[in-house]
Amino acid sequence: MGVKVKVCEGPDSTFEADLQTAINGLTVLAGTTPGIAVFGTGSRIRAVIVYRES
Amino acid sequence: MTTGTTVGTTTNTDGFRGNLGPFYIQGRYWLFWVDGTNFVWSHSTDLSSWAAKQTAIASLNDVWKESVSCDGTYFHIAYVGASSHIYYVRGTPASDGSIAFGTARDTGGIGTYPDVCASGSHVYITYLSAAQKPTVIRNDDATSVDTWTTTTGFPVLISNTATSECSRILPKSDGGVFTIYAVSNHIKLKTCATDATLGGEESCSLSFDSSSMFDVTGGGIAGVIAFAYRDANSGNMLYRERSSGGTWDVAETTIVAASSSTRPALFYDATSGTVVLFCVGTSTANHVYYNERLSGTWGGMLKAVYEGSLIDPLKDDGFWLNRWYRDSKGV
Repeated sequence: MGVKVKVCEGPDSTFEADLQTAINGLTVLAGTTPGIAVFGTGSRIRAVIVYRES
Repeated sequence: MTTGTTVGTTTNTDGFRGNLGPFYIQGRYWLFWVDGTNFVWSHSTDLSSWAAKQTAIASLNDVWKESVSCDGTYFHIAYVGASSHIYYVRGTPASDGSIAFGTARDTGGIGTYPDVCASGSHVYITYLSAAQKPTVIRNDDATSVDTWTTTTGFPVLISNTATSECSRILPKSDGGVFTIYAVSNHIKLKTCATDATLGGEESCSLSFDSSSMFDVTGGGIAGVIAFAYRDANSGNMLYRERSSGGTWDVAETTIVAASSSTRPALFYDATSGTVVLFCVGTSTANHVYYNERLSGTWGGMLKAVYEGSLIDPLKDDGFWLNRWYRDSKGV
């Protein structure tokens, strides 16, 4: 069982879609809780999703 | 967007608490977690390749029993040890990915749900006491002495009302802290000065839904405190700020209207005033919502579909999110 991360960078025209895809595609171990960290400023954002893989 | 990258392994199934990273310092990302036996960390320069996990604290495997903060130089770690005593240990990260830990110290505080931060030359820890009352302690020196000596006047009882909500703590520019806690369906704030003097109780929320949790971030040099929480009456997800001068927004801003949005995660960039907010919602089942405030204007709310086939975000602990958002570091 692994601790994994997914990364989305933006903001740009695909940032929200990338987030949506990333969240949809999480294979999260049942009963566990993903987390997210956001780095950056308004002009450049990096979202890091942390989760436990099923 | 990357595909899922493995950081390390764990057999713990409790998920992540909100303040274990990832952090960005010394040119690396750092992530802490419990692995089923120990409290461990890994590091990466690019978020793609991660080093083998290493043990920060042995025999610590409860996601609610530790807190990590980073002040730009040190990792400050508070955790619940033997006999529910609150322990503190400081780690010094290096550019090679190592962390030099000091000796873990028993602070003398007894309780649970610690939250730790450095402010000025001191370290503060807030926790719920054995009577579940928000409490804060402070040591004498955060930078030169690897010990913990609780300063005269501490522990300070922040509120005499018992609560099950974790209290939170944020640094003040004068070396004191903001203490944030929730009692009787209200989110409250009190300042705590270096001499243990508490400020008056300030109310953030008019009717906080305590089952939905809240998030708060900010403080430090800029001094702005940002809150997100669900209103118990309307069901709206709300946002409110306290200025550096201590003035509250007259009204809360509705981020998600009349939904069952819950468990917000809030990111605030003091330089630009940018706010990013995630929350779980049920106006459409099992969605994760996202919005951002750029140049003072909130955007349209994205409904990032979270299908929930493997996890029910509301039944479990939700899309519990980390909070680390500062300047341009990490991008």
